[in-house]
Amino acid sequence: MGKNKALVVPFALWAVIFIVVPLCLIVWYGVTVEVPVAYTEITLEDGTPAYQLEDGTVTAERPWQKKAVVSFDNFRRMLEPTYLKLLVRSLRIALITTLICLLLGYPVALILSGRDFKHPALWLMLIILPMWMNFLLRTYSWMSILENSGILNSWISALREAVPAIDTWLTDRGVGKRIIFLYNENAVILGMVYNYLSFMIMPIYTVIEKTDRSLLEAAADLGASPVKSFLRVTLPYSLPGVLEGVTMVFVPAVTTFVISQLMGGGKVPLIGDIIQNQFGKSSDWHFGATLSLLVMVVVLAFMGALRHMDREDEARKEVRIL
Amino acid sequence: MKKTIWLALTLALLSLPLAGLAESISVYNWGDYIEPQVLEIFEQETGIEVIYETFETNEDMYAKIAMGGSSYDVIIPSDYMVERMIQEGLLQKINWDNIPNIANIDPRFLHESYDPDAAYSVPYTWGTMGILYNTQMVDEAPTSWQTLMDETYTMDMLMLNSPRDTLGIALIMCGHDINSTDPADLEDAKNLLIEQKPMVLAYVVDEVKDKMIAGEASVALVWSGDATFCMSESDELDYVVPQEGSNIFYDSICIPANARNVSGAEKFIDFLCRADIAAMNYEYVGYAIPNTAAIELLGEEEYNASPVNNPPQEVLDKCQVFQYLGEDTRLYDQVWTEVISEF
Repeated sequence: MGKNKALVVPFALWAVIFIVVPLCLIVWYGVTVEVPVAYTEITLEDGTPAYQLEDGTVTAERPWQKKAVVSFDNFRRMLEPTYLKLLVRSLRIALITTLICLLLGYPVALILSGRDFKHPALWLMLIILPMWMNFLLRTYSWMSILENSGILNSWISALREAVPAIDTWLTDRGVGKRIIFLYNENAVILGMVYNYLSFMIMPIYTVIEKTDRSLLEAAADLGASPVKSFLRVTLPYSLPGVLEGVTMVFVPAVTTFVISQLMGGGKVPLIGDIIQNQFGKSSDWHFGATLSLLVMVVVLAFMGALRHMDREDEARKEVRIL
Repeated sequence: MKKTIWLALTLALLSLPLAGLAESISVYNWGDYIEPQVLEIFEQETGIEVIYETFETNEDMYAKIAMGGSSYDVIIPSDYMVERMIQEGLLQKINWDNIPNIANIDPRFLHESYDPDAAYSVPYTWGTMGILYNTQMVDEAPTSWQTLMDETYTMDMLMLNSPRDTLGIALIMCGHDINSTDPADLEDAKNLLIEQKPMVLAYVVDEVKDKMIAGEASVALVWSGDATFCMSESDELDYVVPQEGSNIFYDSICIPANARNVSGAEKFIDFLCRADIAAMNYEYVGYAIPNTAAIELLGEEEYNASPVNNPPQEVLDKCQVFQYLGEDTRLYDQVWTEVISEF
């Protein structure tokens, strides 16, 4: 027992230094604001003006120092429509992304885990492989495909030149010389789906793969159609994987900032972009921390709701088996 | 025990060079902002070793100096940061007797609002904000900021995703001061930018270079340094500082208040102001320089041929420096967030 405890020490230390302390710092920054130090203008005995700080020190220069004081000003600011609108948009885009990932990812996971499917390991490899590449690189590739001066547009214009009929057809429908694919919400969603899809496929695949196949055989023996056995067996058993996949897509999607900047051309800012600005250009760490806390609460609430669903589902499953 | 002795010995040996065998200065500059050979020549000529470090933003540099943990002898902040650092007592006055080459610097670049007595800073490079345009894609060359409100360029213009810069230009377009902190002025600027928003293809920062070179848009709001780079990559691009005036910015050489080797720093600053060295540096860095002697050496005609180096004097007269706004920076940030989140 003593030995086992010793093994925990490195992790506990790690957790304290890299999780607990930063979290406390974020909370501290979130509930404080910086204000200039208070001072009074005084005149020294020889008649020169000077400044006296609260603690009694006297300086010749006007004091510029700031101090952090506890204040909930930033919470009030956070609740202004500007920021709430951004939060709502971030949640909406993240939900759409998660839904698309689910609709695309579930069938893929199902097919991959099918018994007749040959070389699933190879296919899995092909799905995971792009994840090894830096996601910035992948996003930049999408940009060079979709840009006004990008690959897709150059193909389209080549096609229009080659086949005049297509050109007139497109021109009649008011399509300009260059089609703008990037710089809108759809481009941001595309970038997110592409980057996060494998996070949806993997957990669902793992769960379906582990499902006891004799259950499916039993269902078939008892006369259930493939559709019915999918609805009654595979789907309920794969739900934990779905919930994990949803979490793994939704959480990064709601906090991302690079994809929205690159694919949306800065026209579709998300809450993550605004937080990043606070720590960069605007250098207002206090407000940035307050916004981070807001996002953390939203994500926690979301995960809590999922966990709740999961537990109810487990209970139902047990009843069914009994 | 043995280990400890070895450790102590190694440490002692390592610290020997630092202990003063050779004189050294430490320089803190923007990344890629000096011709590396310049440092070598300085070391050869003076025997003073240069410990060279780089930073990415004024704020990074400021944080390191203000924390007080590290000591540098020469730093190169931008105008508003010079102003802030003077205010906070982080810079020391320069003894001009030891910088004879200051005579090479065009006096019109001294006494700017961030250092009105020209006591703390030596201008190193300068630049402007302006419009970079694709000569093949525009009908006529832009001369006014109104180009950025021209519906001809709907979904065909790029703006800077930078609150201070873009709002500064909007303030000029509304006829207000570029450093205004009056909420009413900023409200005007905000409304103008919201009106402009449907015409903007994207708000970008570094990506503007790739996009303009590739012909992604016809016009873009850029810093002159980026314009120089783009124009060297593509013949189709040209740059103009609009007639209404613009922002002008300076990066200046300064000595921090806690510098260790002030005489070494003075020698280095004087060296950077030398005509041949400033010319060499210009060819590498590409920003306009305030050094008259170096410009003569480079060939005045060729140097002035670039619209980046040589905006007309009457336009330059209308260009203003960004001042340090302290707490009011937050107002800009708030207004900017309202602009980009408008949908």
